[in-house]
Amino acid sequence: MSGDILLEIKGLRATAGKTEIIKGLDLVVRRGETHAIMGPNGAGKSTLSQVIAGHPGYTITEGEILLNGKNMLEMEPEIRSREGVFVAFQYPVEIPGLANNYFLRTALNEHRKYKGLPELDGGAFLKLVKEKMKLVHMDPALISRSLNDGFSGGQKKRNEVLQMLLLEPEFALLDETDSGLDIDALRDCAEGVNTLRSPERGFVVVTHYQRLLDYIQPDFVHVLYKGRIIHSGGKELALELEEKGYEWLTAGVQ
Amino acid sequence: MKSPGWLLHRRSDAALEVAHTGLDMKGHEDWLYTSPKELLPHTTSLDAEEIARLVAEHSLPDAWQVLVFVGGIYSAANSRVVDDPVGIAVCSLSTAIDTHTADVIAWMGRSDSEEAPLLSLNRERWTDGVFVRVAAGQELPGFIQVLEIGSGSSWLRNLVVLHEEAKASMVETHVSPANGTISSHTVTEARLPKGSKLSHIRLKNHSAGGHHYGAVVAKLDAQARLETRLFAFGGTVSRDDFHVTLDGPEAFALLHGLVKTRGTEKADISIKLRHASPDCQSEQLFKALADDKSQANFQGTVYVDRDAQRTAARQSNKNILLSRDASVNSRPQLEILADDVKCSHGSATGRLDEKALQFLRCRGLSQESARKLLIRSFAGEMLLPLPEGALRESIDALLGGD
Repeated sequence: MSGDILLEIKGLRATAGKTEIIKGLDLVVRRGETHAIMGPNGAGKSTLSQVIAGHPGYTITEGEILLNGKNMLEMEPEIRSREGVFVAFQYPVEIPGLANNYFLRTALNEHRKYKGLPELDGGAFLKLVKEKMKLVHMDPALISRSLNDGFSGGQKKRNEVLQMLLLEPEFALLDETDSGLDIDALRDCAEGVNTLRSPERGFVVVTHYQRLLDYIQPDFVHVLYKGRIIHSGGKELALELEEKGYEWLTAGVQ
Repeated sequence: MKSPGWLLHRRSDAALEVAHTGLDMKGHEDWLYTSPKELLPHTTSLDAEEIARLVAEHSLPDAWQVLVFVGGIYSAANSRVVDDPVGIAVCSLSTAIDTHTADVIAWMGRSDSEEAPLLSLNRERWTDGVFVRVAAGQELPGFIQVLEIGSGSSWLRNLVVLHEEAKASMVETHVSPANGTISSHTVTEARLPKGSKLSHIRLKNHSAGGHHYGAVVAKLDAQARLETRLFAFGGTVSRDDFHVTLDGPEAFALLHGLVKTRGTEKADISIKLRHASPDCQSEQLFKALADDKSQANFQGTVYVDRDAQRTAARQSNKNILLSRDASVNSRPQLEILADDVKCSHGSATGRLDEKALQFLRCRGLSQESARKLLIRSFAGEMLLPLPEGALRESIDALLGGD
């Protein structure tokens, strides 16, 4: 049922300044799979997301990340994106003065250029973006506002998912997309993700709560603790964690 | 050009003022960052071919009339003018001396500040400029463009005489040749009586050898409205003075400026805005982007007279340093004598937001295109009020080009 390996993390170690946060992490995501990564605060979940996105604030001291067999750590953030990696951020940035539609069109056209496709003109883009906005129940007025400027938490996260729907990544990581969302926004974001799920794509959903996984059903659940994956299981593991917490797994882990 | 006796008098009065103050303003607080002498270089003149090329490139097709000045002299051959409708006059100031003598005598130089040597020097030396007169309650059918092609040294004086409830809209475009050194001194003065409205835009699009002094001098009567927007790009030295007085109740002045400097360019903006009457409002927003080793300076003072109660004045200066070697000086000031006022001023200088740059790259934008997008975002609110058209497009292009 699972396809080829899409993303492979091998023995990854990463530091922020002098502090080591990721301490030997291994993960294989095949095409068609959805993985959930759960874990207590400070386990390294957000660092993993930032490292995959290519944030310059982290240093990789050991290990590698392969995207379709290619060394992803050597790619600039924009190349990762154009090669099909998408990270939905926990705290989307606000850019006053930058019109959302202008940003979205520029990003989409950079991707299309990279793939050798013609750029979309204003009219064609608008038609496409309106279609995608419906999928996440996003207010059409937000398209001409400044990027995330004054958006509510739910609007920002819907906007992240909208970007994902437009860019159609092969591999997407959602970093606590559920944090700070009411139930409607949560469902809309999850539905947006589900429309993209296909045998060609792979997803990693980083979350604190089982709640999101009711909507985005994972094939695998991993527990991240102290920078390593200490336990893996099927989707039933999420329910078990919800019930029992993490302590039964983390006790005794150095 | 011929000068009637009264004009010769004014020129010699002005020359006396210049002789009195001198042009060495070292240590004077209005001239901390530039000196008048820097704006008076040895210059070179243009040939006809280059003039024609610049005119073709910078004339705005959507302007109602385009008046072209080359080296400070009106060029009828390069201009595009129409017959004036009743109640409206648009012509060169040298023509207006004969055709609208009373208006020129009454208003030319009337609002010049005495302590501004380059205003005095301009009053002594001006050779031409545009003259606009709009009768009471009338409105120009479209905006007029004053296109100045810099050649040698030029001294322009634009005079806008509006009558009560009249409306006018004008765009000044100042350009210089790709090579050589030019200097241009342009003073635009406006008489804005009760209920009149002037919308004024000045675009300075200079190449490396441009030296430009510009001033806007205006006095507003009751309920008059002035909107003046500066877009300054290029030139060795660029200086803009604003002398605006709100002289009648409920007058409103909006002063916007967007400056981009690069190389070793220096830009300097100096504002003296006086609230002399109650219930007036003023709004200032000036932004600068300084790259390479360039320097962008801002000095702005809002004076609120004792009688100017219920004044609302806002002043904001925001700057972005695009390189480590660029510099910015910002001196916002308020001098308030009235007690019932709402005044605010602020100044902020920083770099492009690293987090925003990083985010845009994560969505597939190159470093370069992310930078350009953020520069446009910073400038966006200055461009938004402009009507869509050739002018806005050319400013947009100037922002994007490196």
